[in-house]
Amino acid sequence: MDNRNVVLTRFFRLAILLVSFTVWVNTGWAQTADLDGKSSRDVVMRGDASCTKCHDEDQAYPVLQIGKTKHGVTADSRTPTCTSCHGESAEHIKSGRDKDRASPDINFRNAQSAVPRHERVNSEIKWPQTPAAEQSAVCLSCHQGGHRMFWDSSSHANRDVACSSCHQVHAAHDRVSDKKAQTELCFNCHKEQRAQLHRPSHHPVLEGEMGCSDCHNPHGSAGTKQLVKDSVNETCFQCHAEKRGPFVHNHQPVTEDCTICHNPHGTTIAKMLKSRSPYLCQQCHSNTRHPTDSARIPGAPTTSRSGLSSVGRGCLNCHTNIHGSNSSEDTTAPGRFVR
Amino acid sequence: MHRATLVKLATAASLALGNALASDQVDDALAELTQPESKVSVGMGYWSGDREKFGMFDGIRDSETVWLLDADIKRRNEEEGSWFTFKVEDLGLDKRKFDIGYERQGDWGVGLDYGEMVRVDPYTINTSITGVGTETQTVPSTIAPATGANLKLGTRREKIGLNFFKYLGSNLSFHVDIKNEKKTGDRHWGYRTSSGGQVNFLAEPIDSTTRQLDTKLNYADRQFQLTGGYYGSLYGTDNSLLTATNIDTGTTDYLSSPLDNQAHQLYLNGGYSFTPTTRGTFRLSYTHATMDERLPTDGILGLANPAAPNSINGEVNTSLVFLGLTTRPIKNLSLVTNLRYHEVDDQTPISLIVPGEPVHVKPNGYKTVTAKLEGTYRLPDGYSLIAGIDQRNQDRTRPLNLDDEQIVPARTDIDETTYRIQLRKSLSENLNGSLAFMRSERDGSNYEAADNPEENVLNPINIADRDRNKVRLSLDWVPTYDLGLQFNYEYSRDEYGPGSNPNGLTDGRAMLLSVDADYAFNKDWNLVAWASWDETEASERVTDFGASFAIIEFERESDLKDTGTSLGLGLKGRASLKLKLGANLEWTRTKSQYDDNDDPGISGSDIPLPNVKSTVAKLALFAEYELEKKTELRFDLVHQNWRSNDWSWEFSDRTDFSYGTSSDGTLVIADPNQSSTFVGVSYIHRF
Repeated sequence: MDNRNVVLTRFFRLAILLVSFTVWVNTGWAQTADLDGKSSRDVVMRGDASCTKCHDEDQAYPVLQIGKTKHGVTADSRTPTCTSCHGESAEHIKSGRDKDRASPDINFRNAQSAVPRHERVNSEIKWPQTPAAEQSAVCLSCHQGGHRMFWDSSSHANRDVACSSCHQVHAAHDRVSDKKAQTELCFNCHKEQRAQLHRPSHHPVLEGEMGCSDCHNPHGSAGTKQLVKDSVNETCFQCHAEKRGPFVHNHQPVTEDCTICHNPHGTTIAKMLKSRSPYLCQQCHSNTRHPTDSARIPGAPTTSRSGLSSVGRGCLNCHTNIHGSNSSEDTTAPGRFVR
Repeated sequence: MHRATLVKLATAASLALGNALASDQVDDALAELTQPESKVSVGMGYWSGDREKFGMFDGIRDSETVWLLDADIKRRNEEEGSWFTFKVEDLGLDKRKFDIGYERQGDWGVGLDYGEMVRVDPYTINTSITGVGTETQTVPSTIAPATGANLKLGTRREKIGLNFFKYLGSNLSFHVDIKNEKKTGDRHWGYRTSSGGQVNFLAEPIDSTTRQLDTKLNYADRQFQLTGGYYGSLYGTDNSLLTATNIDTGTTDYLSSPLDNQAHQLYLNGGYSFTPTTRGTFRLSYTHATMDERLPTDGILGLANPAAPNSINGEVNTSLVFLGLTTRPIKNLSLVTNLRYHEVDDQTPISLIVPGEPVHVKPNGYKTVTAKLEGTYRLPDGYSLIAGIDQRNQDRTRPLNLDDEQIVPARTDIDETTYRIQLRKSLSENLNGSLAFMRSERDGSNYEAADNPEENVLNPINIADRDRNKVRLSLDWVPTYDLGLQFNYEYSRDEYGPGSNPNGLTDGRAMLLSVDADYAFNKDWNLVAWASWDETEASERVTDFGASFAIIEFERESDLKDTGTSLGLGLKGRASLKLKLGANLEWTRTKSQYDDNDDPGISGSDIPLPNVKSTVAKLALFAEYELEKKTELRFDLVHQNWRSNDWSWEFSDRTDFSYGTSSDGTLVIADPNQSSTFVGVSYIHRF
């Protein structure tokens, strides 16, 4: 393209721009989204005009997407306005732009955030953080009770974790509410569990078949380890009810706590066992019960107890029903879970 | 740039279409930004290679073409505030899930979901056993390895759920959640023949159904919240007894299965905010669980004592009382305290089911009281000091008149005290972290002697005296706006006792070190990376005092050690306005070591346990190209590799493990090196 054509093209574009702008400023739209910041039209939430004149989807955090969430349903009279969460924030509205702007009355920045840093809000701005408890209090003013009943006494609440540490309220997709996606956020703090879930034997969490929240209530619970049920076993019985018993022959640790033998996050041993047979079994049965059964790999098929104590199913080669047996058979070893 | 997007949109629209159409354009643009978006993805992929290990939870073990079908439909009626949602995941795989729902927000809603989950045994099983999938299985008379049929063992769960809620006024709501899960398939099993002592292979049929119902009434206002409800869990099995016949020995053995059981729970949760800084909570629950099915061996000649009851009439009642109080008595101090009473009361009658030895039904009960007090004091500059103490007291009950049937020493009381102190720094933009120390001391009443005095020199792991010390350091550092770093270090040490009992675990150690980093190259590209190293060690001792209890026949000390190294790397970015790219790498290596100081009796072709090393590597690449607005093509390339020298299903010469000695011959074949590659392409449309 020669220079003459370039000049003509630029002139033509400028002309269109000017004409269009002239037409546009003479319409009602100029008033709804005024360039001087005096917007008079709510865009998403009730009363959001003073906020959306600056906050839009082009910012680091696309606030308009809140409209896609349940918070954005204006037909539901319970849904919030911007100021019902962030406060009236008069100084914020009046003060300068960008980095000089004052913080809203309540900001949801959080040093404990599980949300990846590049997805957080306005990371460049150094506003003092609203304390985590005050942040959560805003959410709890509507969401108190239900499965958040025990939030205040939870480990999360007492370690400066706020609701917004995990939840992305303005985002169309709140990842922590998605079973497949939440794990990454939990791993941001729970490194031990991340390492365990990467071991060869684990619950299918990384595979997306389970989420952390299937077993744990991150909002707190009356159970141990913030479990969704009152005890470890009751939580496991949600999916493994066949282990509930009681049985004719009860294996005592099974009735007490599944995690005596299993680590549900993952181990190097099949069935998420904490240790390999016979070592695990010998932590309770080491003397009169096959005391000479040292761990070994046999050279060939065998009926030797020692030879079968590690390979195959280990001790369970013979003690088949280790979680409990309902047999009344009077064998040589009733109560040893062989039948 | 803080100029409203509407302005830009309107300008652009005006330029192109004139003002009359501009407002429509802006409305459309605004709707796009603020109204729920739906997505449909249709594609096809191909897995090549071996993936017995990786296919455990999707059922794809070998080369296979798969459909990639997903949808996430959301429709909202703005005037009514109602939602219609329809979600489909993995429709083309054996783990497909559907979820359909309608909700009038703040009023009522109903949802229906369906989900499949598979777990496929990662080994190839070649067997001549007949009757797999039934309750009658027959073990062949001769050894004939590798001449049987290859079995693909696995289980499949199909869950259907229905949920409903209704608001009854502004503060009251009613919720119902029903789940019905059907589990089918066969699990790798086996048994020891009563004649000849051979270990034979069996496939355990596990067809069963679990039904759960949770219904509750919620009340919530700003100050007071109450939830009361019923939770029921009912398990029903299609199998109760497996009959295994070994042709070689001519014996028939009977293996019992779990029987139908059920649990019914009533619960009441509450919370009351006395002041803005003081809140009390409680939970009361009572669960009545029973197992009163007729025993499967009842009525079979020789398997049941005619005088014994035909059911154990099992009954376990569990009570929970939880009381909690959180308060901030002064500005910088907050306190958390709670008291928890949990009782598992096994009321199953102590009946004599097996007369020979004799062996009774032995109920186990636990009454556990836990108290917690924790305080957080906020110091200047974002520092907090947290100190806490937990006290746990447990009464354990077993029928005292059955001491001669006790094979492991027991304790009637276990007490544990845990002290914690932590210094935290938070609320800082650049540097946050914590240093925590925890010590717990567990002991209990004198051991109740087991039937055999030799057992009384053992500390069972779950009731042994234990001192645990744990330290945890975490640091979250943001040196520049573009770079964030996390460091975590944990170390714990356990010591078991009492020292007069030599057997069982003696001590344990665990360590974890992890480093995480995230870096933003620019607004389009970012990288996350992490690495972790962990070690877990345990020492345990076995001493055989011989029949006379006077001499030590042998003594074995074992040092068990697991180490793990994991790396993760994720790169995401936008190569152009239309092209998004991403890569994800995960690599994990684990090593298990079994060091025994003495291996009596290991000779001939038997060998001590070698170390086990396993490596998992996954590399996933994707590209998303925007064909036009709201329409994309996605390409996926995944490569997975699994290597392991795990000898669990091998003999010492590394040949495949086979069941039996003179019969059976079932082979279990593990593939030590599995690699698979996936290529897939999907067409994605958003609307």
